[in-house]
Amino acid sequence: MGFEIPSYAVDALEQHVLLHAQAAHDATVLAHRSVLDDVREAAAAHPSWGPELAAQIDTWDENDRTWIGIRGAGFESQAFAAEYGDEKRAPSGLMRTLDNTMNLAAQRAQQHLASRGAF
Amino acid sequence: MTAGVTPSVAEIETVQSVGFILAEEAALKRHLSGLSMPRPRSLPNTEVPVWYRWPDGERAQQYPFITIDLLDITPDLERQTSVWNLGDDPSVFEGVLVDIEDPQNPVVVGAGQRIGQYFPSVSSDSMPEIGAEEPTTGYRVENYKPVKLIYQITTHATSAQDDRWMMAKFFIDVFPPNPVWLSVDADKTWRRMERLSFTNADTQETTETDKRHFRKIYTISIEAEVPVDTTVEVVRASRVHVDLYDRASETREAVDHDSSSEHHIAIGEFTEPQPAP
Repeated sequence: MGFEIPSYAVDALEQHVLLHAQAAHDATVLAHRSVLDDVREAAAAHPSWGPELAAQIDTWDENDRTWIGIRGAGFESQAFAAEYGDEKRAPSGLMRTLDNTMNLAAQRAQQHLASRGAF
Repeated sequence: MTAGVTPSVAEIETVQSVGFILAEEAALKRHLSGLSMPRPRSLPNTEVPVWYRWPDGERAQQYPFITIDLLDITPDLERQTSVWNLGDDPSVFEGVLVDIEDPQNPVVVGAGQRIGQYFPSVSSDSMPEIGAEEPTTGYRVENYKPVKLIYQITTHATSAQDDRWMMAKFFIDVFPPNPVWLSVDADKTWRRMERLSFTNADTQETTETDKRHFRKIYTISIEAEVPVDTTVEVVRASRVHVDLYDRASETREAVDHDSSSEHHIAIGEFTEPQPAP
């Protein structure tokens, strides 16, 4: 006794899975973009960071985690001083206070998924 | 205060204005104060001062020291959206602290006990101690908004020995891995603190002196609440005053009339009930 799944059903299921996979990928990109734009905007407006340093902020995936920060040794010391402060400048805490930014990015990603019928 | 750390620095003078943020910062400073750096036998121990932000240039710079910086006030969404059964777990003060060593003569020894969730830290002016003078009074706030205060705590030292000693104290006593409970005097609560991150900043250059500068940076969060409703005083009625009038022949007295004055009791002199029109 066997059980046969019609090919058209398999094709439909595959299309459905691919659709959701694409929607999830797009949502991830959207979330990355949202976080990056918001953090750069906040950094550019902050006196300790400024537009030049803000432009160096980037996001990337590494070791199954998403990172945000400064890549490249050229601006690390400036970014470190802006983030943690020194005897001249108060710490900004920009990279350590991203709760609202991350929540907003998650909302945008969820809205995107909902618009694609993923929920 | 954790074991091994003795508070010895004076409270912040805020002229009775101990409210949101000020209350938590005062408690945090007290929590961090009192570390006494051991010195060689011939020298006295050095107490580690605690500053809000980097101390002014006018102050004699004494190493090591600790600085406190407020980074952010952020909504605590986890607690804001958590299930809270108002019936089982009300956010109210209630009752008084009573010494019942002698059950026949209970003695009121303090303010109301907390029931349920945290109460927002407020000035003692606007929120007098409950029940201290009149045990039948109480205060109630119907709702509040949980937030998190994010702080950067930095230890500064010019020797590796001092730096490591403070690290050990911070990891074991001041901010151990488990949640730390901060006692806030303003509203007599224990607030949960979390160490969010630790950063070694020894490589940071400083232009202040040519000294080597060892910095260790701790990012922490402290639970706090912002009231979103007005405070309501609740007073238990101790006497009920009821006036009876004959509507047909008597004029009603004002609502706030003197209830201790002589009253005419009309009972027994009422007119016959009239049918409704």
